Amino acid sequence: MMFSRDFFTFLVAAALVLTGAGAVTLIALWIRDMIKGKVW
Amino acid sequence: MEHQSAVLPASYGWVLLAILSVIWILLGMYWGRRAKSVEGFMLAGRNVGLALGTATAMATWVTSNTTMLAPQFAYELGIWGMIAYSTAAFGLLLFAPLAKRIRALMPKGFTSGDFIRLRYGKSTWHLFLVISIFYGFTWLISMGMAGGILLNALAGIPYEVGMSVILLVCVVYTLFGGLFAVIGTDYIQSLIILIGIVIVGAGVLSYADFDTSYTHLVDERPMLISVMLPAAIMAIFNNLLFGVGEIFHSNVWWSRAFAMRRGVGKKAYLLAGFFWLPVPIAAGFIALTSGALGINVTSPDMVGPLVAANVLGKIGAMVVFVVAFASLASSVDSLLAATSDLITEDIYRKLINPKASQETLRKASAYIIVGLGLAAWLVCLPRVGTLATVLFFAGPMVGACIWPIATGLFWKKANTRGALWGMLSGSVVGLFAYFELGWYTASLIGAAVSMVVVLIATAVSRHEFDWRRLDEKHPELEGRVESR
Amino acid sequence: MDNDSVSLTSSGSIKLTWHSQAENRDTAIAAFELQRARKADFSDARTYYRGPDLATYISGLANGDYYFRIREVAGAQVLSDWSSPVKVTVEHHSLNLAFTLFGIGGVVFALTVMVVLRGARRTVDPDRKPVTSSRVEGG
Repeated sequence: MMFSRDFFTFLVAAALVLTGAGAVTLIALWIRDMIKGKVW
Repeated sequence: MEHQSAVLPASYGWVLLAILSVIWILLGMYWGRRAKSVEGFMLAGRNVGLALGTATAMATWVTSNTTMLAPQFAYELGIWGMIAYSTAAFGLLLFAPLAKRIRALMPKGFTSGDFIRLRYGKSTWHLFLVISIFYGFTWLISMGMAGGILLNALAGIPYEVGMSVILLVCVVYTLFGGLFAVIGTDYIQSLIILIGIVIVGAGVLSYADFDTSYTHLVDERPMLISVMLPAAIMAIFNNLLFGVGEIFHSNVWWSRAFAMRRGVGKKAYLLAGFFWLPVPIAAGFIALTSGALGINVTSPDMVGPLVAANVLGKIGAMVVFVVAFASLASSVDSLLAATSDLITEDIYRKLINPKASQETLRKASAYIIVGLGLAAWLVCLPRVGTLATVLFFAGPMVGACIWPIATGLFWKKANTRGALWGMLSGSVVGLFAYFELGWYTASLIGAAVSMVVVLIATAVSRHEFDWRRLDEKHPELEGRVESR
Repeated sequence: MDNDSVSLTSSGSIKLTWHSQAENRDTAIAAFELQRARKADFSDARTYYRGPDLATYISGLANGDYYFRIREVAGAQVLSDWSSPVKVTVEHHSLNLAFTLFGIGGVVFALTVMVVLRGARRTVDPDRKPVTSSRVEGG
């Protein structure tokens, strides 16, 4: 039983998108904390 | 060549290393000005917000292993291997409710050792300290060695120099800035890691045709896309439990739980877990394109940088270099800080000098950080290859800590006998399994045995723990109010 | 080739290494050709690798026997005979063992998750006082 080519493609694409989304979210969170004065 | 030649010209490597080192030290000193009290130094004022909290949890869990080992896992164990690696994120996710609970039960706590001592008493505490410091120190050594090996393989920088620079830079900025410096640099490092992985991954994706890669795997390396790969299947939960054990017991994560502002801890760890989940796959898949790209791999631990450099040239190699530096530094600084905190609070203050003042503690902390760095440097210097495998001995030991800690936080009837014998029997049986059955069973068996012991001891116990005993006060330390 | 004439792997991975026999080779043009076959007589052989490296790390092989041999080449010119063959037998771990460990691991993991989630549901809001023994019962 093998992982299909579509699954492989989807897995990698999703991983890259989520990783990028992680970076974006971290920046957004920091901006929000800065505005509220709650960074540390 | 038997060994890959460096993927980056030496001059590039030296310049990058110098620039990164200077920046990191300056940042550490800048943020370190906030660390005025012991609470400031060790716990960043107990007020860290969501952005920094999330970033530090994620970045610290991304070690150089994640960026270098993930491609290796993919290369040897295929798609299942990458997915198995990702399960380490569960350690962060499961710790989220623990972080909230810890903050609630111990608002003035300092270390994981404090919890074990107050919850289970002296003997369990001593055993826990042995496990914890062993794990922390061996992780530190494995990172130091990985740093030296990595910088050597990437840019031809001599092992001794690369290893020394990484340790030295981290010691310096941790010394000056404490947890403020660690967390601040972690934020930058997490962005570097995430963005770097996307750049390399997207670059490889645009260059390598997926159809060709997949067909090549079917023809030449069919087990890498097989669902029934035994080596991967049996390693999955072992890896997962090793990760959970590492995070549940280590002061690296407890200190962050104490450091984060109220209400932040659980969210930060949940987010960190989700951000970490795709990383092994995003970093690892490039190894699976190596065949289709016609790249010959002579050493699986270099497959990641090899493919990156091959596809993206010098830019790719530089990105890998910077990402590697960031992931190394973000883990080494956390280990230095958390292990020295443990030794300062649990050994120096609790066992040697209980009346120590803030100044004395700061000084002790400083000596211990330098001492740890020096000890690690001495052990790393001879580059004993098998040393990195010593870290895996910690697998069953930290696996055996999972149930004592989780039940200790949530179950009133969890008791000393269960915790002590759970940790002990789990460690012993797990280590036995390591040598007799194989590495892929050790953490699993350690955790399972410990779980059974804790369950039995809890079931037969009639004693209930009073949670208020965990709220230990430190009047001698509550002088200065940390500035926001 | 440097490997033993017969090798066994239980993970489908193996590193093959070799070296040049000759002393005065012009290393600028010399390369190696590595062949892989499923039959001992190499009747179904294919070129697996061709290049200057002295090793290759193979992975993902399915159960069975594989035969490898190497020779030195330079462009279209053949510089040496084929080396004596290396046989690699791939025998993956038993799936039964794998699933047993998977099963045990699954149980431990599931129970751990249960402890954490159920405990979390009963945690007092951190802005109120710490839990007292009368309010929340133990597990």
